[in-house]
Amino acid sequence: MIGAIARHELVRLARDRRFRTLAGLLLVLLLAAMSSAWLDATERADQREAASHAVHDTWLDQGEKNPHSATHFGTWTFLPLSQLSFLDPGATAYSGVATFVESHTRGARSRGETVPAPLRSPSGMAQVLLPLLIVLVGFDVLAGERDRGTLAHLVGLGANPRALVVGKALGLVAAVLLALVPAAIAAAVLLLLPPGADTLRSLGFGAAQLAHAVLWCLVVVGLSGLMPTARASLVAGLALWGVTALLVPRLAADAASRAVPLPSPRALAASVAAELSEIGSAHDPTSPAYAELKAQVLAEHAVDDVADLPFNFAGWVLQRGEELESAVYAKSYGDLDERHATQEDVLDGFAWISPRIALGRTSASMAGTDRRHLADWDASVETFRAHMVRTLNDVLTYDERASEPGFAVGRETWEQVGTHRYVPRSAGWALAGVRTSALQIAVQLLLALALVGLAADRIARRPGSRSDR
Amino acid sequence: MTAPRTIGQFTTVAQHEVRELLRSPAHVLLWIAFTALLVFSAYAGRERVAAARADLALIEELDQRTLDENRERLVTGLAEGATFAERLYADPHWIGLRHGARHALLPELGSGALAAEDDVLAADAVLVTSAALELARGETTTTNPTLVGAGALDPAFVLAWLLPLVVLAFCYGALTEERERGTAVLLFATPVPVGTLLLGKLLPRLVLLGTPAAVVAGAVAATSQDPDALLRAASTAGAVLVFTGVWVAAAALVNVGRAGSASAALLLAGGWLVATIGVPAAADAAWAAVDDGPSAALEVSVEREAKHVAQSERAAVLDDFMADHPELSTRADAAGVASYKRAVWATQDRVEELVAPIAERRDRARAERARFMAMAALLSPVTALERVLDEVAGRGAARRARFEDAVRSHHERWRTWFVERTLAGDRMEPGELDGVPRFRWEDEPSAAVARHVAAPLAALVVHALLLALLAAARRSRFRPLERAADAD
Amino acid sequence: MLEARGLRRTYGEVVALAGLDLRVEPGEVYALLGPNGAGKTTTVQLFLGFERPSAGTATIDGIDTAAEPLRARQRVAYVPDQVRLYPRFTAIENLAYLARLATGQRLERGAADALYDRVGLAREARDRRVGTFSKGMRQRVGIAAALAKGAGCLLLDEPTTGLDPRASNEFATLLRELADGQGLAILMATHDVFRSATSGDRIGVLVAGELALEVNGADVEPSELERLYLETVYAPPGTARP
Repeated sequence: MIGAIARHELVRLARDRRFRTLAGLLLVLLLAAMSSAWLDATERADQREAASHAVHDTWLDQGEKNPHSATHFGTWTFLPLSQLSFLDPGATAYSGVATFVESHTRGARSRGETVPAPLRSPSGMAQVLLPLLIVLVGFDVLAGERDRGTLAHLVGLGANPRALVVGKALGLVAAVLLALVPAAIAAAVLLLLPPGADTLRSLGFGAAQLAHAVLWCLVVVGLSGLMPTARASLVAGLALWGVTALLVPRLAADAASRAVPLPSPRALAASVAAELSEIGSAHDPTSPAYAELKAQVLAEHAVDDVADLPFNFAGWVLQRGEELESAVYAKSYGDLDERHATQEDVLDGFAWISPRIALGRTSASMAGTDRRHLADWDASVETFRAHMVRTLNDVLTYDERASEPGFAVGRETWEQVGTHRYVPRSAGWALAGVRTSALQIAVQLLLALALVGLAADRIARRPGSRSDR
Repeated sequence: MTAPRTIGQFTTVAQHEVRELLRSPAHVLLWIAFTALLVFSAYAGRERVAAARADLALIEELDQRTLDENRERLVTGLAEGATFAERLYADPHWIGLRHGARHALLPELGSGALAAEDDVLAADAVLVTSAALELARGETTTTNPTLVGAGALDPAFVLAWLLPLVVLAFCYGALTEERERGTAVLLFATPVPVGTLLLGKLLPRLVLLGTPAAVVAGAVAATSQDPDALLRAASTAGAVLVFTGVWVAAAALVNVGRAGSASAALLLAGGWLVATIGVPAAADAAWAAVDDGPSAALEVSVEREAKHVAQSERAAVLDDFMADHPELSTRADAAGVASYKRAVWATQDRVEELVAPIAERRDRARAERARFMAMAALLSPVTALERVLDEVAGRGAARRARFEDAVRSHHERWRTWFVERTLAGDRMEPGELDGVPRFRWEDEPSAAVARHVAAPLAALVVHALLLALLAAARRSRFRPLERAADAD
Repeated sequence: MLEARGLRRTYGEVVALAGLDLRVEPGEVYALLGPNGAGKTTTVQLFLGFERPSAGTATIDGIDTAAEPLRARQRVAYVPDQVRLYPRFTAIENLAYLARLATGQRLERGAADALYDRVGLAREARDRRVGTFSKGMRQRVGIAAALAKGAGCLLLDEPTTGLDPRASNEFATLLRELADGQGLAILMATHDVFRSATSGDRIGVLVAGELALEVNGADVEPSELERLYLETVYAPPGTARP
């Protein structure tokens, strides 16, 4: 019987001009956003690839120079983007596309690309507009029948209310999913066909979107069964959508930034600068920290003059300075990162009442574009920076010619430094970061099922409409 | 139909509607919740402005501290027996290039509370040195991208996105509901024209919803102490009121049709969808199709290449090393240093020359995008209102471009001053620091602000008028009976 | 005076009213009988100007309802078959609102009470919100609103459905009083053959959009009318109607 009801509902929706119009509108928006985002992303990926090669070539071809000078010449490393990132640019919209790698300084970012506002990305549309579509086409699945009196008629004829509600829900889910098949196929083709496709992440992304769509279908059917009239069902659905999909995410972000305040960029820079100036400059032999270092190393090697050390002191002290500075950066930016993570915990708290937050977190994590992925990449850039500076400072420290005026090294050394390689994290790592969100979606699905159950009970008790009185 | 009689009928209907709304707990609650949210968003906006100003004040303070330090350093550097490093601090070349660098600041307007900056990478403070200006560099930011992605709870969001939904919730059933409830037949059996009826129903709603929204938004601008605060307040309040009118007119148009109240709500929600997301998304897609601006990655690689080329063209690679570590130099003689400075300038000029084509391409694309988006914004009342609010809040593309121009010309003056000063001698007196060019910023004159908001304001009026005229033209089509074939 | 001349209304292929000629003089009650779908409600709607005729005219005191609906509506009051009201307002408030819109005049409390006395709405109900009113009570509010208008013509669409016999009887008395005492022209669409015979001056029977029979109320007894009605409505096609 459920199958028959679901089929009936599917056919009814398929013949409904309203459904066709709205689903068509959403599909056009989605496909347009997807294709323009994909074209854009592909073009940018090509340019990024080319830029990455060009920058590395420049590094290798920089010519003969002092190795420490090369640490200042530096190089750029480009943020790797997964194939999924075109669907959900996430935090990359605010992060800049590349980081400059040089000594003494934690990498400065390039400007970011101009990308559409998050909501107008394909994933953003699925997060916000798909629920709206479901509300608009599904609000009357039960309430409409109640208004027309056919619901009481059906129940009077002996139809099982539970089967009726479940059948309607299945029909709505089927109609919504069928309407989105072209978008899903397009996404699958773009994600899975190219070489190096990350199938697991794509599946995770798809599963989250699917769960979210099903969740809204269940909620809408539940409301439709519980509300006295179709109009009330529509108003309740729209209100629920406006609050959970539009308002709560922003309220949550506001609450998170109040609960966990962040230093302003300048305040952070000023505090880092203050800490750095306490250390002093490795280029300034008179600064206290370095005088101390010098005394230590002289005592250690039992010599009186740096010239008698078995290595080149200038290089050695640069490297020590680098390590001290890096520790300051690691601490300050580590604190900042922890604060970001705590803010996200606050956000996750709000996700219990806003599936959009949970989906947004999951989707960005699967696309590898959330803050956690960026922070991971930043950490890897820092590791590379340490490697580059150490490699070059070591040359300056241990090369016998290093103390000679005009000391310079060439391509061989630059090749030794190599390029920054970032190994993308696995889908499992991505999922681990959004465990809470995944759990929330699952719990919300269960709650929605309970709502549908309540609707069935109510229909069993009072299938008629209020105006029958 | 005489005017007094029409007015009497209008007042009767309007009074009745206000009483009906006041007796509906759902409407009262919605109104209170919306107004509270708007006030809260304005308050949160004020806090954001205060934080941004505190940050700018911190920069000024740090710059001032730097200036004071430099004064002392000049004294030490000029003294007998100063060390090499101490003497460098007194060298105008290094003051202009590094130690004396100051920020050019774009002040945060008080009206900034209306709309949060959504481009977190756009710099409001640029460090100006005699080195090449790098406006393309992203701003260092500590904001959490996850939160930025969620969007700000600013009045712009509450007004442009939520206000229409509240207006629609109040208005979709103005006539359709009467028809379903069955009261429409009694109303229409009276000699009241449908237009009067519709106005009597919708105008009170427009006033109930539009007035507090316009007052709160206008008050934010009016109490901002910005230049032209009153002009800003008037444009904001006017835009919000007309914007409310647009949605009321849309509701009127749907109400005179044949649609039932649920279908009316559906149609209006669809209209909201198109205006709020459809039009901007289409504009994005259209721009993406014609955009020929360089990607940020391309810019990075061109800049890199330019530096490399400029440096390899330079005769002595050692000079480059000196740029960062002159204290390591073994050739610290005056002639060597002077030639080194010239080499630095030469390299800079060469880099700028090499980067110029792509920078121009970027700036042109950005300006074209701004123009295109400004035009596209007129197509939807939502984007038109956002435009007005952005302009009033000082987030408009024109203000940003003006700031960048001001920074560029300031940078030019700065560089010229320091180059000339460096050539004149390599020691600076402390008093000379007062003669260093300062960044001056004046916000646009009223006429310019008015010009920026004129087009979107006019667009809002056109939207409202078109919808209202359409509704007026179709009003006689209203039928007080449901279409259902239950008539016998 | 209500007058229809060649009044015709079609919905696509369906003919709801096929050229009706009808005239209700002041002081006259005209009962329009007919089975479901015969065109009774369409006739009332056309007189109200809610629908536009496909051909012919409906006039009220000589004013064409299609051409000047608002002016026509000043001269006619209407009671629908199902009176629906504003549930959040009291009976007095509902009446005041409708009366004010109908006449442009404020309806004083005394006048409202007088109207409710006439239609028999209990005093204690008058200040209650109508959301809880039974159908009969709502119907009385509707009739009071029609009376408040003080129009010369009255259109009634199944006004007594849902009223109990006593209320129905009182209503019949009220109708006669309005016609005889105040000279109203009353057109009443109804299913009620008995009531038509007792309170109608003239009785018309509509069948499939055509006026198939017209008799004077004084000429027929209720049982006689019922027989005529059944014969008219269920006459085999092609046979002559009485």
